[in-house]
Amino acid sequence: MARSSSYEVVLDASLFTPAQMQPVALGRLGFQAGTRWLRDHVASHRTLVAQHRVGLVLWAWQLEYEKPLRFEDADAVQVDVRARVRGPRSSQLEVEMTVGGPDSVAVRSRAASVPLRLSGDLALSGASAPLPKDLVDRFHDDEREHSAFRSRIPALRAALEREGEHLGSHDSAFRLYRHHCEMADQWYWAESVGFAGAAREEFVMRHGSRAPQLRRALAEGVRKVDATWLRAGQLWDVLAVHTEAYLYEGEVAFVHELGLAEDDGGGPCAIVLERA
Amino acid sequence: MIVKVRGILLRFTDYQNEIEVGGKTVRDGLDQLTDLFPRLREVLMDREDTVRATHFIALNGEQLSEDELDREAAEDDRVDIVTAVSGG
Repeated sequence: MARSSSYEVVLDASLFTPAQMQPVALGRLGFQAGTRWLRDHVASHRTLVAQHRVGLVLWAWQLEYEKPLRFEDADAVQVDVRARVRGPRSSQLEVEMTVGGPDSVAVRSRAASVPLRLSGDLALSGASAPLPKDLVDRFHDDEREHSAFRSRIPALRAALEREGEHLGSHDSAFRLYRHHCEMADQWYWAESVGFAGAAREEFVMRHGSRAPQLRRALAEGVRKVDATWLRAGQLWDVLAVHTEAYLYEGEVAFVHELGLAEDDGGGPCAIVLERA
Repeated sequence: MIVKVRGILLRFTDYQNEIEVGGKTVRDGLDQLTDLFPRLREVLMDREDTVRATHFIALNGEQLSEDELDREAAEDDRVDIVTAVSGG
């Protein structure tokens, strides 16, 4: 039977907007949940890096708000997390987390990471590689999925561009500082979800007066977030966010493309798609 | 040439992100840079003294292979050193 880890998280006001738990906070909870599952059932994150020379880089994340959960609704939530290896060559680790409110599941997230074979240098540099067999063997049979995880972003973005009503675009920029980064001085992925959220708020500030649905999207919060990371933003990089907004099937959608402000021809670092 | 260092490599250059070095080729410049910062050499180079595959070297935005590091570089050329990805 697929194993889970379950535990309680006491809620504080910093985790919330007026309407819901913050996406960045849920990203942090999800990363912590996956790390806990690995420690409980496979190997601790520290051991993976230090002994197995395996790193994990997030490449796709999905977040869905199922039921309203505001700060005043509960003292604590129940986090349940499961994980499995995916892909014909065990080249992905998928972590699913649910956050349970007073009555039922309030939020679900799913994260897919790519294992890295670390080169052994002090910079923790690495290249993508399947999870080593001795680690794959620690997963139960029902924690191994032959098919690979696929990001929804390409199909969603194509549908928005093809059928959505374009509401406008906006460009902004920011610099990555240490408090945005993880141990290896590259951006902590959940922070990039925050940069996308900031770009959405800028967009609403500038265009909300002529489009009330944009203001509603801010007031009621996002319902779904999909993100994919293509390469890392690094300490002191100046990054640009290009945002496009659409009205599609009655909902407002924002597509944020995050990349180096000084284009080096390497393509975007991340794409975040929010639906409100 | 000006060598630009990013991200995790900054800790090995004492947080200098743009370093002016001499030399006629990119390889000369990297040698001077790693003489200045020996810990960077340990990170950047493998035992055969070639650049590890997990780091990229670019001259004025063009990524160079190991064989192309002998490309000439002038005083105002820019060399970028980028760690493709780090695992944590």
